[in-house]
Amino acid sequence: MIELSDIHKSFGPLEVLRGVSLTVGAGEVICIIGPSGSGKSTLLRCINHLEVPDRGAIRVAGEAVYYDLVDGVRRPHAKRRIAEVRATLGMVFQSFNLFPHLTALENIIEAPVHVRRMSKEAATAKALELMRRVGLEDKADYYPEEMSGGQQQRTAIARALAMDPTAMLFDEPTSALDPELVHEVLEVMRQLRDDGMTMIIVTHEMNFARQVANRVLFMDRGVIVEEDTPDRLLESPREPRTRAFLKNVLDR
Amino acid sequence: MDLLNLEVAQDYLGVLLQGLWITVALTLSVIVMSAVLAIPVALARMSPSRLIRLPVDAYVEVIRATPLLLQLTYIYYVLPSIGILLPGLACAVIGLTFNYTAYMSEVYRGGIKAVAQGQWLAAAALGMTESLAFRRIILPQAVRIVIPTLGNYFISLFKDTALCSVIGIQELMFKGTIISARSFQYFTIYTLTAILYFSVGYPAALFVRWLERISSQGYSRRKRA
Repeated sequence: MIELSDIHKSFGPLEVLRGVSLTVGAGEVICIIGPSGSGKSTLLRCINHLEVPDRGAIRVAGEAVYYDLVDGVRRPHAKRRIAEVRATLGMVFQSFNLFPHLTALENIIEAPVHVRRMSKEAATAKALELMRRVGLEDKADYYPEEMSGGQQQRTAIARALAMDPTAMLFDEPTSALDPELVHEVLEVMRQLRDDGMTMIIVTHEMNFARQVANRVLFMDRGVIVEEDTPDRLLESPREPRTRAFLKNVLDR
Repeated sequence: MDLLNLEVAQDYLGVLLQGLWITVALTLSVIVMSAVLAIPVALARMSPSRLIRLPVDAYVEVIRATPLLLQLTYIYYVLPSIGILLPGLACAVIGLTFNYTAYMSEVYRGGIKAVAQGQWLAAAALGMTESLAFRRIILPQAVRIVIPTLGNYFISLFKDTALCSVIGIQELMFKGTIISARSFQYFTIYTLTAILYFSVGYPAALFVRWLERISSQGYSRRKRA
């Protein structure tokens, strides 16, 4: 479904990703954990080209996306083609990034109407159905600033789902939330997993990772240090770095 | 009171009102055109391409570093000598629009930059191209940020139109100057002229203050039960 091979990315002198390869199968749920600055968010952003890797290749559904490598030289795809691939990968941000000048409903129908040229009626019907799925059927006319963080994040998930993504990317979706609002967002994500959605989740929620992930990846200093089933990785990590990180997190 | 001659005031009110009408029409047409043209100029100044950025930068800097009075005079008196002959009113509209577009492009540039970076990311992640994201997501938020500042430019433009009297535009200041010189009723005519400016300028200032208040209220329009 999604294949990353040997992804490198530097910001100036700082090497954020140092050769990351990862294959995610359809319907798989991958959780990525690791200390801040380990490159997890950058990796996620490379998948939908919000960051452009310096080296390496990305394939989605078997096809090279964003650029072709011709004799080692990178030939970027047309912007429109890149946008089309992005539209198939839903992204949920730590800070929600809802459009503040649009209501919840307008946020959700924006891309279906203006990117996919769906009729407003069809998009609205679909958006209302999605809002029901995330438990916000009564919030259609609310502006983001009128909603709690948890409601905003669920709206953001609905907005991403409105494009019928083949996979969903979550960048620390609960990190900006008050503790009592975390579970409502995790609940929606759990439901997505049950519906068979392919998901890559950068998270600090170890319990959630244990419950929903097929695989957990531990990243540190730009590489995947260890990957395993959640039980094995979280209970009996092999690598000392993983052990140190988990001890730190779980002791808190 | 001898200074204020009401009879004279009554006689010339009609003429001054004609001038006021030109002043208002000039203000409205220039503010609308500048507010629209300033958007592409702001974008050009933010372009990664030097080829686009440099000429536009030069234009804005020249406008900002020279007096508006000189700019108007230049268009009116100098352009004809290189074969460009325009009616006075066109010179006024072009000169003022040139000037205000430059200043307002700076305002838009600040407004566009003030929109959170995450908005571009979210739009891109939904498959929007840059131009679609700008039109649908960034610009509406930027406009809202710049509205109070644009409002203040609107007020100052209303007063700056008086400069057009030097190139023969028969706006309010021009009429006041002509009539008072002809009738020697300086006190009456200039006072009346000031009152007419104020009677439009003050409500306009109140309107701008109201706009400021509205735009600072956030996006929740309705109070819900």
